[in-house]
Amino acid sequence: MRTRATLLILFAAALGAPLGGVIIDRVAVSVGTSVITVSQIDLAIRVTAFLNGEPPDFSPASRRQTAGRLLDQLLVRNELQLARYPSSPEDVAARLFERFRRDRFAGNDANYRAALARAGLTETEIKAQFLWQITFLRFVDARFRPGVQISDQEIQNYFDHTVVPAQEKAHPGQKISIDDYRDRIERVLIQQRVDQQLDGWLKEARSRAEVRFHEEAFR
Amino acid sequence: MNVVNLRFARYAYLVFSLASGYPVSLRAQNSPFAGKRIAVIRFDPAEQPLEASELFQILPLKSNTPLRLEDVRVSIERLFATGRYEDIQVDVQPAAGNAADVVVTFLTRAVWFVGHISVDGDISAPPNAGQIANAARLELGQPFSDVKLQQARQNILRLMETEGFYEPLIQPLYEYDPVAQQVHLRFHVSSGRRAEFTSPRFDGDLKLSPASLLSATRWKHRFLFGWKDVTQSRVTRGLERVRNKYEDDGRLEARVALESMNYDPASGRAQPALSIDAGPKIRIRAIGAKLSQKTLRRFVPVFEEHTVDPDLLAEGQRNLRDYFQSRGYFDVQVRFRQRRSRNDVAEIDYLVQPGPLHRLVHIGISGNRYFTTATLRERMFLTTASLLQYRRGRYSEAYLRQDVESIESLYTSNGFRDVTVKTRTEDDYGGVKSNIAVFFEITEGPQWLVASLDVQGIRRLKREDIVALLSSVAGQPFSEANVAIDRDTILEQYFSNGFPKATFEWNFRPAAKPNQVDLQFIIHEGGQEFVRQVITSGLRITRPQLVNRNLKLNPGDPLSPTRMRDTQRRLYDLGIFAKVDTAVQNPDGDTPRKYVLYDMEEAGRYSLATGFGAEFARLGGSPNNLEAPGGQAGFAPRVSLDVSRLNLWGLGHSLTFRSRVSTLERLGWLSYTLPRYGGHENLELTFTALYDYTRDVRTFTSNRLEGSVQLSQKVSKATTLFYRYTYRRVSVGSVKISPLLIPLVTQPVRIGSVSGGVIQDRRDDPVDSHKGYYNTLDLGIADHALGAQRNFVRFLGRNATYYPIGRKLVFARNTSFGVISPYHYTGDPAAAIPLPERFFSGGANSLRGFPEYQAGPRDPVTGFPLGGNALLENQAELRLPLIGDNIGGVLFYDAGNVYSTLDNISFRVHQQDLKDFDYMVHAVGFGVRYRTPIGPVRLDLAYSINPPRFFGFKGTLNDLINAGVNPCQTEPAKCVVQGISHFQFFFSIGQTF
Repeated sequence: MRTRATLLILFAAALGAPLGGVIIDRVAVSVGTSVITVSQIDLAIRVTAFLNGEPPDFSPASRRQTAGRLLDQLLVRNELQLARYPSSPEDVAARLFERFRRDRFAGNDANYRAALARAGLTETEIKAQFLWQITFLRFVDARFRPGVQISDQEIQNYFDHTVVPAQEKAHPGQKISIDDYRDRIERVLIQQRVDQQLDGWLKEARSRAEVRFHEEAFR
Repeated sequence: MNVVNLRFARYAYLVFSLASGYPVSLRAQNSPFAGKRIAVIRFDPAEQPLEASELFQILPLKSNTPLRLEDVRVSIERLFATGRYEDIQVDVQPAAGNAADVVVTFLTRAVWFVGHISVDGDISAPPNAGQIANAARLELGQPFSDVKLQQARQNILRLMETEGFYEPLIQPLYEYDPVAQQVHLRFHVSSGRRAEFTSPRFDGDLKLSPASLLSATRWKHRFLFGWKDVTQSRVTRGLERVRNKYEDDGRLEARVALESMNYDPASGRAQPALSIDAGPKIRIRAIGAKLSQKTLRRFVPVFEEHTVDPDLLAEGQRNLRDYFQSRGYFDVQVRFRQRRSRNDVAEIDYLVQPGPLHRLVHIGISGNRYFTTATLRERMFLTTASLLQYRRGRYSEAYLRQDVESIESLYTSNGFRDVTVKTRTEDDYGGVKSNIAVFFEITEGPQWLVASLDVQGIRRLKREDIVALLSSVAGQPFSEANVAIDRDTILEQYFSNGFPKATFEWNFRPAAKPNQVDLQFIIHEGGQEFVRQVITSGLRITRPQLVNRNLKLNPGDPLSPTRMRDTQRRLYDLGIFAKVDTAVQNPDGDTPRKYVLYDMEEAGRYSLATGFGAEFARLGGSPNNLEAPGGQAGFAPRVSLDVSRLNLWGLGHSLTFRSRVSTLERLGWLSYTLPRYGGHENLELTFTALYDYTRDVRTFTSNRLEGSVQLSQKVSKATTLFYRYTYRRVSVGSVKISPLLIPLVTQPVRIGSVSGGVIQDRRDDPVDSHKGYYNTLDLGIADHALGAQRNFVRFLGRNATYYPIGRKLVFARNTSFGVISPYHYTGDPAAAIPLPERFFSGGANSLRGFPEYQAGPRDPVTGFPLGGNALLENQAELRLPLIGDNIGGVLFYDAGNVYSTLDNISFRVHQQDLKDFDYMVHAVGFGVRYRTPIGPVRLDLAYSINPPRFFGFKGTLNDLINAGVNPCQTEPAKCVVQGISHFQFFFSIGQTF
């Protein structure tokens, strides 16, 4: 009798239990009142893998690393919105996308579609990503480039300490003139300086923002 | 060769990294539930921080539509953007009974926000509870988290340590308010034992002996054994004294820093460790001119900054140059010379070549057509020499620069964008050696005007209302200053209508006509926010309805910071709160309806004030002495004690007891005040009981027992009406008048009266007025029907006006008129009014030709003032600057008197006989005013042109009584003619009127 009653209770419980309930999305990182969700992190991993031509890595370490990148992206986006930066032209992004498709898939549309399907991505997602690239480059140029000044002395130093030794190593005895390298050296130095400023800005933006990683989302 | 990287190589990596998370749509096939019909959307818990209507409005997920994962993500983002959630998860499961449908459940955890912060426990001040609560730095309305709590705890611990408490116990206790998602925190603090100082450690290059440094800190008891308790102020003062010690030794660069406080729990002592670098002795001298060390210290910032650098020395050079120029040495040359340290001494010499003394005698302004010279001069610092205020004028290069900037700024703000101002100084002006003149040559240039104004972006407010407030409209001068004013005007309109994120941009381009611009304002309104509810916290005994009555914000109103501040001010005005904080809860949350918070800290319920003082005046002698009826110099010490009980019954009422005891007066005053009576903001009801024993009028002592009720009504900012019923019993004693009159006037009298009045105050500054007027009227009636034993009507009116003359002078005048008219009386009408009810006048604040209360009719036998039933006074003053900005002078003329009756008011100048007091006394004089934060300190010297003369009885009161009913016949030798002195002087605080 007791056994029958127990079976009855278990059966009833089974009927009443949720059938395959699952958390389909949740907050992974919060920055003030903005969030990065788990689904965004998963998508970011898949897009990165697609662009790199690698299999996606959904390990906790990879997810956390991706979340960190998304956090930086969010900070840049907030800054873009706050400072009312102009939006980027979509045709430039479209050209970048076409070049990527041509280079990666040698113009073979079937291969490209198949790769997209395997990655679980759409073309819209890839195009949007290239638009963001352009937006970001313009942001960096507008935000940090104007403040960077390179002196002749710095160019000379770079030439003496970096270019000349490399030249000596590659082509011993061959003389080179700084005038041939001046523009390129200046670009490199500008780029380095802008990098430093961008890194500093991101670091400061992170420290100013109320960032919280929801650990449960990364387990 | 690939030695040089391609441009943006590093960016490319970042782009790649950052781009990979671009928020694009999730594909439906990523989840087996995607595409299934949403049967129902649930929230767990069911009680959500957002109102149901708002909740479902912002969610893109809808019932009976296919599940899209993109919608789920957007739902999470939007919910989180409201700022009211700490965590959100979305659970999906098949619907019971239909596998094609799903149930979506939002599993949420709400955020808590900081509410009221309080501190209690066993606390030894300093720090007091308020300081501890502030140290927590938990801001009202901001999200609360464990991290913030830990930070707050650390902050409190740090504060306690700086105050010498190294082992405090801090226990946070929570009280949750789920309705407004607030958490009220109570920190239960036990201070523990306060550490004592112990021998400090002095590290570094000391140059002075540790013993002398220890002595300078004063951390050790001077006459007792042992050490003082550690407090932050003691530590700070100790370090400051050590620095001063080095400064006294001439070591101006000495660096003294507290490195650490090493606490020893076993002994309960804290050892300060001081790092010291004494540096060399710095000798600063002025060569070429006499300058005291005090002046050098004032103008050379090296002393104040405790460091020597070229910038500070140059600043000292400029300050000294301005100092000499302000004293008339307009050609002064100041340089400095710094000599390196030798033998532990470094020298700094200021080389001063003062040059000849000058007088600035003329300021010429030319080229000004748009503004008058007077308008420009009003804004200038340079001042020509005058006899008293600036004997050599006011001139320095700094002043000259400021004046040029001031003129340019005035022109620029009125559209003269190309204005230039050049200056020229002319020596030996007018052929007089050392006289100089400064000339300002103004080139105005064209005035730029606004040709058209285009305002873009006004959508939610009335465009006409806003444009009507702007100053940069077509035809008006164009300037950045005007645009800035317009920007503030526009944004204020938006902020007060609940648009906290409104922004303003502007631009202009040249118009078709020359010197005109087409102006464009662009407004980004942002979202409008409204009040969801007003939440108050921190009330302990105050009744909520008292606060609620003063809230000027209601649910649904636009969220206006202006109205929030108005409410805050009204709450402060209740006088029962020490602190009123206001904030918008969750200010960054993207939600249109927000809680407005008011967090209050009730003030102490009792306030106590004590005072000591003294009065120097013509006070007279003993009660029995009839000498000097005109008064003689005396001294009266005074003690006062006030106690108030605030916020009685939690209704904002107050009960106040005031007392004052001096050799002239004993006063007890108890009042019960009901502000905002009956819920009317402009009404105040006051009940008062009073006991007053005084002999400030030398003729008698007055005993007054009084009860009154007064309703005052503030009808405007400047005008107040009051209605009063008073019932009092007055009696007099120690009367120094003819014995014949004594039985009549010494009888106690009860007076019941009603009165009404008005006060109009439109002065710019009540303490030291320069313009405006001040009027008071008071009309009362005492009648048998009101309980009075005497019937009379009393009127007293006053009108004072103030007129500025130019920039420096003020003409002020005051007229007072009063009359007491008895009716239904028997006998002498002059005796129908009890002595204390009559008018008395004279003294520092009325007629300065008389000592205090010495004007008017006098007793024919003793010569003591009797007061009168009519009063007429007129005072006129010319207030002028004397020396510098803080010392001024006054030339005054007072006329008037107290008269026996209204009919006897006279403008006669001459006293007819020794019993005639119904004539007008005139006095002239001058005074000096020294400006202080509590008002001008005043010294007046008056000369009375026609002071009264009278008979006075030389003797004691007993002599007078023994002399019978006609003392001057019985004792003619004692009846002598006396008079009020021609000269009077007064010393007090505040202007006369």
